[in-house]
Amino acid sequence: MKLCFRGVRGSIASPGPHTVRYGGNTTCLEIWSDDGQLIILDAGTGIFPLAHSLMDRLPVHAHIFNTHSHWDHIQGLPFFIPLFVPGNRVNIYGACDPVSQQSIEDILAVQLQYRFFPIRECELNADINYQSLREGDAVQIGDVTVVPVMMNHPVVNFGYRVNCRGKSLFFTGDHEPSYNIYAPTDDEYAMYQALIEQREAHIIDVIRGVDVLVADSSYTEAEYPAKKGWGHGSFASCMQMAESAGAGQLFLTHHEPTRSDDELESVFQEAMRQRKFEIAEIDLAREGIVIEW
Amino acid sequence: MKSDNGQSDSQQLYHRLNAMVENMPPFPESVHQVMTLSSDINCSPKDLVSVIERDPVLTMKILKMVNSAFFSLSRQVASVQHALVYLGMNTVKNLAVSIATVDALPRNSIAELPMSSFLTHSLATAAVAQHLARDSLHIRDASDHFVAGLLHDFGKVVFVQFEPTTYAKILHMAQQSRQPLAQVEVEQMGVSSADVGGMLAENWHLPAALVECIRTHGGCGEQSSDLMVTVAAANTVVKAMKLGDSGNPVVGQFPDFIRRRLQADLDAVMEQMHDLPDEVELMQSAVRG
Repeated sequence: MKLCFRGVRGSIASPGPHTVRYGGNTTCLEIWSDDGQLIILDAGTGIFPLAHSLMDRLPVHAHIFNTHSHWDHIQGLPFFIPLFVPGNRVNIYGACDPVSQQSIEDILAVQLQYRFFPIRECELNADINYQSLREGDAVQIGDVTVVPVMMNHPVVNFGYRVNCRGKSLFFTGDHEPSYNIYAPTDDEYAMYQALIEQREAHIIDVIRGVDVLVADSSYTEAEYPAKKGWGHGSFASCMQMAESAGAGQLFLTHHEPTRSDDELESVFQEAMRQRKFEIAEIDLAREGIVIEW
Repeated sequence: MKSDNGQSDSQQLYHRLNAMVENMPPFPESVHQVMTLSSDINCSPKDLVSVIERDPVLTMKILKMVNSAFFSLSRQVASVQHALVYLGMNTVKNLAVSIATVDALPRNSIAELPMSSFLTHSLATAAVAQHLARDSLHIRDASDHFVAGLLHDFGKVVFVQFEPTTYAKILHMAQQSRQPLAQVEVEQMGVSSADVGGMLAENWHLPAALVECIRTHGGCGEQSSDLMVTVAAANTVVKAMKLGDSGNPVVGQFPDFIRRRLQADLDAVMEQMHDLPDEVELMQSAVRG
């Protein structure tokens, strides 16, 4: 299995001299399975350089899994050039939205409106298929199985486990570990804690034993309290998740858009010094690096 | 039995009632509170939950949405807190706003069962059911007992909205004859409010234990689930304490098996719950703001 980080920045693309080393594109993971399937997790702006790299490999048959519908995870989709080329096949998967009752088709259609983009959806020449997923609905693509699990974010967000021929990867999408809304002195505290523990155990069960875990580590421990409820994790929460699930390697991603490369390395080193969890390997996700296992 | 268009009578009844419930508004105080809370970017999850979980219509609609096939989770969601843990604060908040702003039918109201009295009965039953689950049965997550208590008489809200004139007559007949309300409902309408509530809950894929509780809480027996026992007992306690109104003139007693399961009789539970009127008043004042 081969993983290439195409976008590791959270919230908004952040190009410039201070983000050259880790990259400024928003979330996109390119995965090639051992049986040659192309799985793309999220279509942030990082999907644009990926699209270019695919143009000498036509026809493209890509499977794009969307973790959630926030802009930084869908914004690159209209620029996924294979969508314009006849003979390509692109399957797009993701969650329905319970509030608007819209299916996954919405993430492209909503962007391809006359006022916002010059090309309409019906003008795309590739064979495009959409599949709305429900939690636990496994998708089989050749030897690859992709399993979605609900994570915690201010919109429905799926984490995805990708398995192929005994190798595996899990990507959280954007995720903040659930926290108790009640104070320990409230009657409801224990009840709510039981619900959280049940849910966290379910998530860990899905991740358990994964070779590579890619997780949202937007904040430092010091920053987190001011950002509680925003739907993102911290360096420590990702390490805890990796240890609980017995992940082989942890990549920290969704870097804060305001953080320069130097600052990112500095807060990472501090988090490593303070770490309380045992994980074999921890690294910062960096745009353009390839991991093969 | 099949009608001309191939649907059974019960399917037809379900579709009519479902369409009606779609347009049924939450209680006006809750609508106001949801809109106020949701316009604050720092809205406290605890405050929002306390408004939703005290309104049977909001609670029922959120559980209906979360458990629907459209948005099927790997496990059934049995309480507002459970929905919050699975969907997150922002999604639940936006669901509540979409329910609160539904293009609602005007609310029917009948003097024989004022909705404010009905709400008091439902909230009090919810509070007692949760107390019994937690303190007598030592169940750590008792949120589904609260929900079951709140929704056990949901079918009555539907009858008031759907057939106000007929239902007013039925309530009056039960009061005059001192017969169990469910019996008069079946005699006059051919179906009880518990059946209707249960049918809707089942079609909305609510957890099976909750469906069973709504449908048969009046006929709780030796083999009944903990949920049925706490709600049946709570219903009796609340009627005996004369808190609110369920429309049923018959109060009843704890059968032997309920006494055994809870290791307490009706008087003992009433004594344990002596703060209940204040607790219910507090819950309602939170909704009123």
